[in-house]
Order: sequence, then C-alpha cells, then structure tokens
Amino acid sequence: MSGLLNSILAATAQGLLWAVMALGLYITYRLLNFSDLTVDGSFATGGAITAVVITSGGSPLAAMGLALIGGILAGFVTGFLNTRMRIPALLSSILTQIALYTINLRIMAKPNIPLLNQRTLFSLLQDMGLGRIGTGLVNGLVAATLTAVAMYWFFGSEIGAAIRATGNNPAMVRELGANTQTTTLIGLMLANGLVALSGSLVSQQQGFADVGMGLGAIVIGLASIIIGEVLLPSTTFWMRLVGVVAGSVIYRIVITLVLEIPGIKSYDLRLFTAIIVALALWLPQVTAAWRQRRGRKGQDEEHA
Amino acid sequence: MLKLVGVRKTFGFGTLDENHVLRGIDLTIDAGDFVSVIGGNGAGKSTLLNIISGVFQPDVGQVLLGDRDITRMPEYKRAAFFGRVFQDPAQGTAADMEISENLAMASMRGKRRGLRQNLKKSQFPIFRERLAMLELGLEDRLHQRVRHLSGGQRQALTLLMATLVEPQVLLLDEHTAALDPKTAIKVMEVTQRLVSTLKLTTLMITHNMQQAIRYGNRLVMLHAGEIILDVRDKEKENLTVEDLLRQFSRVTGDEGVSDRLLLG
Ligand SMILES: Nc1ncnc2c1ncn2[C@@H]1O[C@H](COP(=O)(O)OP(=O)(O)OP(=O)(O)O)[C@@H](O)[C@H]1O
Ligand SMILES: [Mg+2]
Repeated sequence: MSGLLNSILAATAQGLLWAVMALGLYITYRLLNFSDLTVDGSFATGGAITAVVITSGGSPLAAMGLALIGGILAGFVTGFLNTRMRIPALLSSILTQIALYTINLRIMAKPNIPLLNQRTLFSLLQDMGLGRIGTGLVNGLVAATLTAVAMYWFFGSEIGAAIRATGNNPAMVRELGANTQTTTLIGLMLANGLVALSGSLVSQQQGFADVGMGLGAIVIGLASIIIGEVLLPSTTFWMRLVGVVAGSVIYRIVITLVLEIPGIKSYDLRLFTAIIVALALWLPQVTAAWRQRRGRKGQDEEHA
Repeated sequence: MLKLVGVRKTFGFGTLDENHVLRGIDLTIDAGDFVSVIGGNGAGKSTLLNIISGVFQPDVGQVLLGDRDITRMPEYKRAAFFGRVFQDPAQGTAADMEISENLAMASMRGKRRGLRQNLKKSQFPIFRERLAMLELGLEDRLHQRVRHLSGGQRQALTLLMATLVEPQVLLLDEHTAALDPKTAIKVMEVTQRLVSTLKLTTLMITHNMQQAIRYGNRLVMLHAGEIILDVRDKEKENLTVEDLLRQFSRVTGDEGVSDRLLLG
C-alpha cells in the first residue's frame, strides 16, 4: 500500500510542477481568450535552455531565469505574428511551435540531454537530506504558490485588468484607451514565460531535457484548467487560480491510478488524456441541458 | 470645439461594392452643444461617429478637436477625448468583471496604466455616488459581475463609464435602440441628467424623431452621406415630426419617406 501512497505523493509533486504551465495556459486560454498552441514548443524551450545552462556549469537559478526569458521571447513571436502581421491566433501559435522545434534542437544540439549527477534545484535539496519525493513536493509547492500569488497581484493591477478585459471585450478596452495589441502581446509573453519556467522545473526533476517533452502539454494544461473548473466552480479570481493548481495535481493522480490498471501502457496516456479533455469540454453543455430540462419539469409540476 | 472639414469616406473603393458613405461633411460642434443626428438606414451616421472616434480614418478631409488635428490619430489614443456608448449593451462593458472593476478601468480612460492595483478603495465613494445617479440600485451591487445585469442596467453603467473621466465630447450611437420602450425612456432620462449635471458636449445618433426633437439644442439630418438639415435653439424647439418629414421629402424628392425614416 505504501507503494501506492508513494506514487500518489510523487504524482502530487509532478502536478504542482506542471501547474506552473497550466497557470500560464490559463492566461491565454481563459483570460485572453486566445488559443495558444505555442505552449508545446515553449515548454520544451524551457527544458532545453535549462539543460544547456546546467551542463555547462551554470547555476539552477540562472538556468530558470534564462528559461523564463526564452519563453517570454517565444510568446513575443506568437504575439507579433498575430497582432502586427495579423495572422489568426491559432495559426500564429502553430507557426511558432513548429519553429521552436528547430530552435530547441539548435539550443540542445541533440534531441536529449541527461541531467544526472548535475547540480539542479532538486539535487540541492536532496543533498540537504530531503528525499526525492519530498524535494519534488517542496519545490512544486513553492513554485505553484509563488506563481499563483504573482498572477493574482498582477491581474489585479491596472495593466492586468486591461489584459483580462481584452479577452472579454477588446472593443471596450480600445474605447477606454488601452492598446489591445499591447495587452495581447504582454499576456502571451507572460503565459509562455511561465510555461517555459515549468519546463525548466520538470526537466530538472525528471533528470533530463528532451526535444519532445512538450508534446501534448497544451492538452494536459487544458485538462488541468477544466478539471479545476468542474471541481471548484468558484467565483473569485484567487479560487480560480487555486482550481487550476488543484486540477493539475488531480490530473496527475488520476493518470497514476490509471497506470496501475494491468495492461495499460504508458503510451496509452495521450489517448486517455484526449478523452478526458473531450468529456470535460462537453460536460458544461450536458449540465446546462440537464438544468434546463429540470427547470421545465419543475414548472410543469407547479402548474399541474 | 469639434470640427469636421470636407470629410469623405468610401468603402470598397475600386471594387464592385464601391460605396460612397460620406460625401463631404462639414460640421462644427460648439462646446455645450447637444446635437441629435437622424437619418435613414445606411445614411452614414455610424460611419460619421466612427470617423470622429478614430475607428475609421476619412479618405479626404480633417477632424479637428480644439485646434488639434486628430485626423490620423489611432482610436485608443483618442479615448482621452471621447466617451462612447453604442446600441449593443454588451459592447461597453466587460461581462466577466465586477461593476467596480469596470468603473475602475473607466476611471483610467486615456491615462497611462501601470502596476498600481486597479481597484482603489478611495474611489468607491465616487463610484457609489455616480451609480446612485442612475436610480437603479446599482450602488449596492459594486461587486457583482456585469454579466448579471439587464440590458438597460448595462447601458446605464456604460453611460457612467463613458462620463466618469469627463470627455470633451460624449458620442452616443442609438444607445437606447436595443432596449424596451420603458427602459429606453429611463436610460434617456439618465443621459439627460448626466449631460446637464456635467455640462457635456454631446452627439447623439437616434432613429427616433421624437427623441431627436425632445432632447438637445440642435438637430442634424443626414441623408446619403450629406447633411441636409442643421437647425438649432429656437428654430429647433418649434420643430415637429411633420416638419422633419416634409423637409426630408423636399430634399430627396421622395414622397414615401416617412416609413423608411421612422421605421427603418
Ligand atoms: N466597415 C465597413 N465596410 C464596408 N462598408 C461599410 C462599413 N461600415 C459601414 N459600411 C456601409 O456604409 C453605409 C453606411 O453605414 P452606417 O453604419 O454609417 O449607416 P447608419 O446611418 O449608421 O445606418 P443605421 O441607421 O442602419 O445604423 C452602409 O451601406 C454600410 O453597409
Ligand atoms: Mg448606425
């Protein structure tokens, strides 16, 4: 039984580290209302930069700082394609994602860089006597909390409010004198900065960076956001951020439990994730229809 | 104070759909004017307003505000000068944000936005006081999301947002047209109250001739991209709907206009 408990704790740690990515995606998907597929590329960019910096002797913190900047640049490219060159959102982000595949390989010079026996954020804590899982939990908790707090503060600011309103009603934002091209650009840059930071953390935790490590990140992020919204259908902005983090953790725990089923292979997970997301996206329609039917029935009974 | 000089606008220039929407508009609005603009569908009223606010730029002609030429200034930079309210109640507010957050954003109209918190407790008394002017009870609902307001309430809120930072000119584009008659009257009363309390210069587009006659000190009629009537003060006060219809058919040589102008 302690084996299962251990894997759930490990999944929790992983969920917290990936939550930083999901929070970044929340900025584009929910606040800006921008379908940003850059994520799959910028997540790997974070890992790639981290691996190169650390293997060439840089400190883990420097690696994370540079990963953050790399992600911000990736978001800038998507934003530039969309706001200045007027390429539709989805297409802009796919173009950046494809371009990043090449760039990530150029950064790493090979498809995979191991980080075993290197000094990472994780090895530092492990050296202090914390176990592998404990290290993941501490790092994940700190990273997810700091990210959520920073987002809460920023999106309550004057600029942050204008970014949120851009996703809601861009015509109004222009009418109030903010440049919606700029607000979109800032949102995309912040989002992909966080995504790359998450890629940096994950690569350090798993002990390698791989050019394909971001594949499907967008779907995992969506799953986290939607699970959070279904389980914590709350109204305040802070609770919605908490919901995203919780969604990311729950997603990882579910995946871990699914893998316990005999006959399930790890490569079945992507199909499983796609099905979860499809069902979760469908759920709001189902509950709305159900509520309406119940409302109708209730009224019929009243009149009967 | 606001001056349009020889403004022309053509959509789809050089295509089959070439459409000369404004054909040389000269209009000077003085400080304190409340101008009602009427005209049939497609007369170019909204286009005129969009050229003033910078959504479109004229092909020929100038837009002057005071002694500043703002013809080529982008829309978001003109926000400091104009407050706008449109027909669609959804257009003026951010539905997923609170009433207070919407007002706080409007209090930054045309100013540089920074990293200070958007919601400032010190502004709440002003928000409450302005909301109370609407007489809709919204002053007790500051933290409710705008999504939960009715169309009329949203439109009234948009009016507040358009006037919170006093605009040089308030621009209204059929802002009561999507509301039921009772609510429309209410929103129009609120408009009048705000305009006279704050002494705002106002340009109001409407389809409703009674409304145009009743409100404002000046009435402008637009037809096929040209101004065909511009009356003010005493002359305007004595105007009737019949006068307007007669004037319209005299200029256009069209007898069956009343339906188009009234119902169009
Ligand atoms: N962005 C645009 N592109 C092409 N044509 C346009 C555009 N905007 C307006 N038009 C055309 O310009 C003409 C005038 O439109 P406008 O919206 O100014 O009329 P209006 O007087 O406001 O009419 P309504 O009373 O129906 O609101 C119409 O024929 C319209 O189709
Ligand atoms: Mg119009």
